[in-house]
Amino acid sequence: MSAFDADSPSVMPPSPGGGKSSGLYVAAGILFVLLLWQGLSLLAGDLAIAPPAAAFKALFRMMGTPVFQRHFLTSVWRILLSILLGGLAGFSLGIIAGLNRRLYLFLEPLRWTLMSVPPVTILVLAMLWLGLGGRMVVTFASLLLSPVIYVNTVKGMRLVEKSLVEMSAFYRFSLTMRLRHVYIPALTAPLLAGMAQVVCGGVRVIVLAEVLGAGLGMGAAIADASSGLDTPVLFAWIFVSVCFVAVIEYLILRPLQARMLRWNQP
Amino acid sequence: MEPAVNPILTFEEVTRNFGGRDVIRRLNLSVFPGDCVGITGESGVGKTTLLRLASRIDRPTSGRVLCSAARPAYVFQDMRLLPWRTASENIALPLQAVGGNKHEARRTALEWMARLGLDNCADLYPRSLSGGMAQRLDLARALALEPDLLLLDEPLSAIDPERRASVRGILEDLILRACPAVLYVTHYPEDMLPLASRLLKFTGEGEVRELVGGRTGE
Repeated sequence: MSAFDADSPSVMPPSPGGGKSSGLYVAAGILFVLLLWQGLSLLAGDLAIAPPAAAFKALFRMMGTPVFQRHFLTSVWRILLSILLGGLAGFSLGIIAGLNRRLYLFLEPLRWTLMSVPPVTILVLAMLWLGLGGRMVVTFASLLLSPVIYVNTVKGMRLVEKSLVEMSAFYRFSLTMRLRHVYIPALTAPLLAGMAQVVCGGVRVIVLAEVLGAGLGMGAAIADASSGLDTPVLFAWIFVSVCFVAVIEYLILRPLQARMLRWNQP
Repeated sequence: MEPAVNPILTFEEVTRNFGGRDVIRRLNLSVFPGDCVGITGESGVGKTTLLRLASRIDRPTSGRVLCSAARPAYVFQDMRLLPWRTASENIALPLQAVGGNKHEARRTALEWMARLGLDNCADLYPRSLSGGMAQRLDLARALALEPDLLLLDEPLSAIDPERRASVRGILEDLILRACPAVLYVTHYPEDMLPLASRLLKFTGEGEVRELVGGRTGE
């Protein structure tokens, strides 16, 4: 099963609207998750599932330490770099494939292969070819992220209204103008919606690669905690990775989406 | 002896077929600079197809379309405004595409918006405009180019009756002053009869009949 599903629904649905009631529902949802966590910990035992209190205690203890910062910032850097590299490759190839059917058909077997091969297989091969460490981690993640962005871009290109393409061709827009004023703005909505998936996926593959093949990073820290049966630290790192995705989605992607799609606001 | 004027748009034995049905059959038509050709007929008989062929958006099934217009402009029936660009940008972009400077293009855009009663809409997005305002914007985009070939597909259909007369006046003024070649599709012949030097009627099954009417002395 692929770490990504390019066809899964967007994880960034339109906002239902602001106000106190929305915040209450979100708070209730968070409380539910915490209670569920606590309940499972009681059922399975502290060694299997550290209770929330122990995880948060471990988190506060480690947050101020230089080791935590090194692990965290190393992973953040790798996540951002792999999104950038995978994004550039996927986006640019997606634009060209969206414009050129022959190239699209030519790339299909490669795209299908990358999305069908189990990620851990690609990881093992990456470790064989590139050894252990950051370069392998970023290469692996970029390889897995680029097809997702590529597919979203190609889909977006197909959805660009033909009437607008015709209008721009009639008025002799240059290729640069067509890309800038027709295709890329039309792609913004589906791409931004897909970015939340990409960030989630990026965190998961980076951590996976680090668990198996790096000495630094959140994954490496998780591997250390796991081998020492330190489940509070393990769950603390899980919480950190979830919070990282939440920060990216709610503090960066959603405001960016609102800004770039303001033309669509009533 | 005056030099011969070449047609700006020529249809030579043009046929356009959709799904086995001839929408236009063996049309021979030459449009000269200054011609205003009115085009009428029921819905679905090929009027918009004629404009699409003239604009090179569509290609004939057989025959050929020759167009030597340097600055063609098209008022689309469905407006085709870029939803993510402001009203003024929608007008300015075609001007920039033909080599216009960005600031001059914006200035021209604002002038035309003022002429068509869209003064306060420069920074609005098309979603915020009414149907009539959007159609005036589409018209402004075309007229701002000072075209030598003007393709009009129901340019006044969405404009409210109060404004219709003034917008028609602006259109007539430009056509009389600048003398572009005009292909004018409308369900309302009264909109273009004062200007039309020729009138074509699509009768259905690909047949196009040229009726006598419009301006005289041309």
